Amino acid sequence: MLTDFLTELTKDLPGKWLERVFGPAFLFWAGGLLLVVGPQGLAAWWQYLLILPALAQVGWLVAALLVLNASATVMERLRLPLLRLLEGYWPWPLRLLEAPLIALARRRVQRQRERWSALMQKRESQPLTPAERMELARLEQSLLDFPPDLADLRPTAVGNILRGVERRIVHRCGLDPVLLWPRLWLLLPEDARQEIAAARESLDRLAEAWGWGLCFLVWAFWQPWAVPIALVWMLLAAWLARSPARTFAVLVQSAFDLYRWRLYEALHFPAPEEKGDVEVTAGQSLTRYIQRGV
Amino acid sequence: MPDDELSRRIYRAARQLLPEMDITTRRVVEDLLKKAEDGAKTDNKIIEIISRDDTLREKFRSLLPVSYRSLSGFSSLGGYPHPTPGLTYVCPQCDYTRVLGEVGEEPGECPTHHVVLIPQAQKGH
Repeated sequence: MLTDFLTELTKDLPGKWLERVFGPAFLFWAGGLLLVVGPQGLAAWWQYLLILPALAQVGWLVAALLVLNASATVMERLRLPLLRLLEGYWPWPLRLLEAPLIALARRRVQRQRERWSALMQKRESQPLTPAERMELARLEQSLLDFPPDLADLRPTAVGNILRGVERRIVHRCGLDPVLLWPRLWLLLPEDARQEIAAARESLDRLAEAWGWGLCFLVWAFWQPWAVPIALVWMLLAAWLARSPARTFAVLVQSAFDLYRWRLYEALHFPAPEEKGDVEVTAGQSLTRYIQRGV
Repeated sequence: MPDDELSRRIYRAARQLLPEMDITTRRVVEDLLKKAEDGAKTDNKIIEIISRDDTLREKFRSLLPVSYRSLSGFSSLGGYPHPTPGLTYVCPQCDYTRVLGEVGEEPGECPTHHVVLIPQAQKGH
């Protein structure tokens, strides 16, 4: 019985446990310990551990592994709230930073849109230079990272990428993706679900890594150096999260582009026969039915 | 990441899962593993079969190293999309023109007349 128990306990060791032991949880605890006790204190502590009886050493090791694993499990459970923080849905007092950050983003997008518009108009009348063509293509790509309507801007890059796709679907199809995503998910083919789940997993991992950076601020109570380290950590994780956020956004939009008809069919709503305003009206009716029941 | 190494990992994980498969699936996967031993590339077929069962798929994922877990084939193309014509908006009172990138963008105002821009097609009406 004990063997069965141990087998069950350790069967995921090469996978989950190692992933946790050497993941951001390890960086959080090891980095924090190093900051709090210092290199000399850590060396002294190590010496103390070495002179302990073998059983006590194993006990310390098991305790450390348990703490790592338990904290990593807690952070895994917090992935959605962490992603929302990364998207810029902040509680007070962080909410005070929203307005200035959104204003910065707005100025940047307005500048980019004006330049894009000027290049598009120039293209109508004369050929663009290779440098201008490249600039236009870059702007085209970059503007996808923001919601069409600047009133929907978020204070963070990941927030704008995800908000962009959410609002784009509303503007084009009248469907609210936040509300309808669970329904569409159940109608997606297995392959599509796997692709989207994999993209979301990558994004969630970085949201979790960002969350560990946020937690690292705790060590600032003992060592002020924890603050810049935590900020660099969080900025790096947020910067890295943009790429999986884009992939996830593209896949969600593709899912709506390709499979939104299944929603109409499954909910016994007449599918719109035209794109544009007709489809937007039909999409709004379907959204309202899901939200309000009428 | 070499494909061979990934395939080997997939075969190893599938072998570990054999006892948990129903008899029919197990026979098919065993056959595919045998073919893999003979040099055929059967990893994609194995993934397809295992993915049909949610429980098996979850366990299969947990047996793969983290970097292989996504089993995802999607990655974006490296280039930039070619810009197709945008939505042209104009001032109803002058020649000021602005091109919008997509539906949902606010057209804004004419900087001279401070009136909201309208779609170019509407100006003649």
